[in-house]
Amino acid sequence: MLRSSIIRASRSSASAIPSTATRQAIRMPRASSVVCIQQQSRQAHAISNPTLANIEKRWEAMPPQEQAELWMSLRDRMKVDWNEMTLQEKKAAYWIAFGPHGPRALPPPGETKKVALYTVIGILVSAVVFGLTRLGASAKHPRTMTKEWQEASEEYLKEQGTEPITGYKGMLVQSKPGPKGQFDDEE
Amino acid sequence: MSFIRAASRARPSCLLRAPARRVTPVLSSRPAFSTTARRCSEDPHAEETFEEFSARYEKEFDNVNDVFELQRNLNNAFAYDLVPAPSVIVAALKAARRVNDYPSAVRVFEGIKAKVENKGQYDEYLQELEPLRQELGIVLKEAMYPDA
Repeated sequence: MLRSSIIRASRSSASAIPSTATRQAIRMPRASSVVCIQQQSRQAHAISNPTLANIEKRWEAMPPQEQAELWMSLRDRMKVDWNEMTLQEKKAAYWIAFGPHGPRALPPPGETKKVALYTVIGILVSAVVFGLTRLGASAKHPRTMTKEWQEASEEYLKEQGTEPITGYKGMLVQSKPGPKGQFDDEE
Repeated sequence: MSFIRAASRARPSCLLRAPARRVTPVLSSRPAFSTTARRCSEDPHAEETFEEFSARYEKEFDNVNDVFELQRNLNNAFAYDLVPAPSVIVAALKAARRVNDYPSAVRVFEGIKAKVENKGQYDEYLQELEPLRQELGIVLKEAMYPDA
């Protein structure tokens, strides 16, 4: 779902004008130019209303052959004076070329909600998994995870002249002070 | 293949001009796609003025021969940080009429609507283009699909 919306976004941002419908229709009937000429003479009159009625709903379900034929006849109608075209023909021509279908299709309703919901679910699941791993962790910290050790590390770095730019006091300290006599056994 | 030819044509050097290349007089008369403004002035970084832009695109639209060229030029003309002048729009609409592409003509008005800053400017454009719109019989998208 997310992937498809990204693809859709990238496609729709690519160009505002070229219409896929025209491209398809131009590509398809190359082989049958004779048919095209016949249609041209036949389509001198307006396309009947039932053919174009509710085309916005039917277009995507139409077989490609019919789509191509309808677009071809509309293209032939566009060759006459546009004032002679019926409103329905104009609407159909515009909708097929630039209507919200194919790469211009609008996102399905509720997509934003779905994305937000699944994101929240993912965060919650990961939080639970993190909590479980922490539950299973040992209570004994490594010996370097004490304030004293980290301060000693700072001292050591300072002696060596390492990293003088951000070498402020308390730079490495991130743990609580350890218990008394924690380093006794090492000496 | 054609882009190699175009590249070799664009270069003024005589080194690449092999005799075999001269057999394309149709191509050499006018480039099939003039993508950018050719600038012969001394300053290669000069900004194109609005008038130059308008003149360039009027010429581009006058030379349009098919739907693809029309839509390509529309994409380019509307990609700038400006609203094309009415003269450019007129040229575009006439080009749409010439290549019999009604949807693109409607789309031009949609493009203006998207580019202008406010509704007042759009109305001014509509007023300016009203005679041509009536003459060509272009119905606006707002009129065809009022609720969309």
